[in-house]
Amino acid sequence: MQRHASPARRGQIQFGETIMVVVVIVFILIVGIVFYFNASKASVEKQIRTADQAQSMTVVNNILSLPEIGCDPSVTTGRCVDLLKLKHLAGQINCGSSDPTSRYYCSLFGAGLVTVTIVDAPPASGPTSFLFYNSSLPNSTATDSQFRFTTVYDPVGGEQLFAYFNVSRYQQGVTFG
Amino acid sequence: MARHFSRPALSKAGQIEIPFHWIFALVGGFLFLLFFFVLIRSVVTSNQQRDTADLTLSVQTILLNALTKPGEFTVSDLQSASYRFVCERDAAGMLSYVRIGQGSYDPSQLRYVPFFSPSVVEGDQLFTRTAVWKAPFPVSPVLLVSNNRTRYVFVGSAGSLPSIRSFIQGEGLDGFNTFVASSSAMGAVKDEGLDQYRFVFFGGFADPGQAFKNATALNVQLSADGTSGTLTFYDDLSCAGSCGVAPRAQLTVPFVGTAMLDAAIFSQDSSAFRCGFAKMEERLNTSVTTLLGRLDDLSSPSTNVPQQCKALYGQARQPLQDYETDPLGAFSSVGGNPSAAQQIQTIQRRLAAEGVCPGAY
Repeated sequence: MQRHASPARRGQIQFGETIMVVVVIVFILIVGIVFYFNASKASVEKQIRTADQAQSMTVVNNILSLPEIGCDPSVTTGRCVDLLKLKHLAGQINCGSSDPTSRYYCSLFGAGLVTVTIVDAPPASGPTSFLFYNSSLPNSTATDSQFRFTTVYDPVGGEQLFAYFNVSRYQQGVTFG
Repeated sequence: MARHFSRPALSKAGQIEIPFHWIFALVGGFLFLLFFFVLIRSVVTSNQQRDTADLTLSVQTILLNALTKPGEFTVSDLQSASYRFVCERDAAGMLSYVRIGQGSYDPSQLRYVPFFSPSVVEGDQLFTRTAVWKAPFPVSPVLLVSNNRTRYVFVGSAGSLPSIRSFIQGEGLDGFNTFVASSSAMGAVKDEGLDQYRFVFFGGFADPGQAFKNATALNVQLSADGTSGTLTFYDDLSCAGSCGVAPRAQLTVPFVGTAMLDAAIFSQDSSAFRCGFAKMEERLNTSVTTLLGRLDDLSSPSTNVPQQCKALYGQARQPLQDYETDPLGAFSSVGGNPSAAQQIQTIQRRLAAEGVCPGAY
């Protein structure tokens, strides 16, 4: 025998179906939005990584072109970095401090870690590697080391030394494979 | 009165006919439209923000790259926009940034860079050149920014025009939109509808005699060697030649080094120059500290440097310390005594004459 729903029950069925349709559509839209934003996030992370690599090279270029650490013009008129100036400038940069020198260089170079290694340093000239610059971010890790080989001028020995700059960028909460 | 409820009807066995309610369709349709409207709007807004952020990043990259190429004139093509260059004081000192249209700005990288430009550059190109400020030792890069819609009109006496042209060429300013005019032939200078005009007078300010769009002026009094002198800023020439009131000088300052003169030429006005120069002074202090440390190392007993050089390094400290106490005063000689800058040049010459001494600076 066919059962007939009462008017109240039939009304519940109508309303319930409408809600279900809306819920399904909203669900599909949410899934779409989540997919879209995940895809966007992956694309942004890739762009950040590419920009960071370019930024690392810009940082080294910036360091090498700083006029305040350039060689005496009597040494060379071309691009040249004075080792003693480089070390003494490094000693003035402390990104945790708010003095004008630190503010300028930390703003110019951004979050990163730069070490200088003198490859053919004379034994008497002290450490062959020193930290030039370090500005970290909270909860971050240094990633993607980039190396740039160059020469630096040692005014004491009066010779050009082979050296390289190692630049890493700090990434906050993002780890790349 | 009997009320009629629409309710499912049975047409065939097992089939329920649900009555069609227009109100549901309208509400549902409205919600759909609202949702898509909000979605599209947020996507468009985020795209615009991303475009502005990309453009801001591009401009920052262009300017920072220009810093790495001292002496090189560069033309960069960009999306056509209104680029506003700002230098202002905030709690942490002088703050510089570029703002595109009405978009947000990122002051992180350009904040402390000494750069000098018109306050607004419209169009799709940026011209950049980096000069190096020497005092006389290298101190700081000075970034000059402009475009082809800003004209720099250099004015001098007829006899000084060749040296003005050679100054423009020597400083690498010939890539910018420049015009050289004799002060007796100022009428030859016409407003060609560009965005702004910057008059640079060598030897004496003269009223241009007509109003130019966004015109400002700088008067330069050069010393005999051409690398120092006095700068006078005239920040408002809006009623030149028409008001009957002579333009007023806003600021007069000494300058040392042609890069400082370049900075003044490219500054929008006296306040922009002061803002940028405050950063150059900070760089001067950094260089002095670096050089004093270097002199300590060169003079150290453990260093294998000839004794006669070490004696000269001891003398080289005093002029540097003068920079620390009074940076601009170090460029001026007082009571016939050589200035700190002159003493530095003398010591450098003596070190070079020794033939075996590394330079002091």
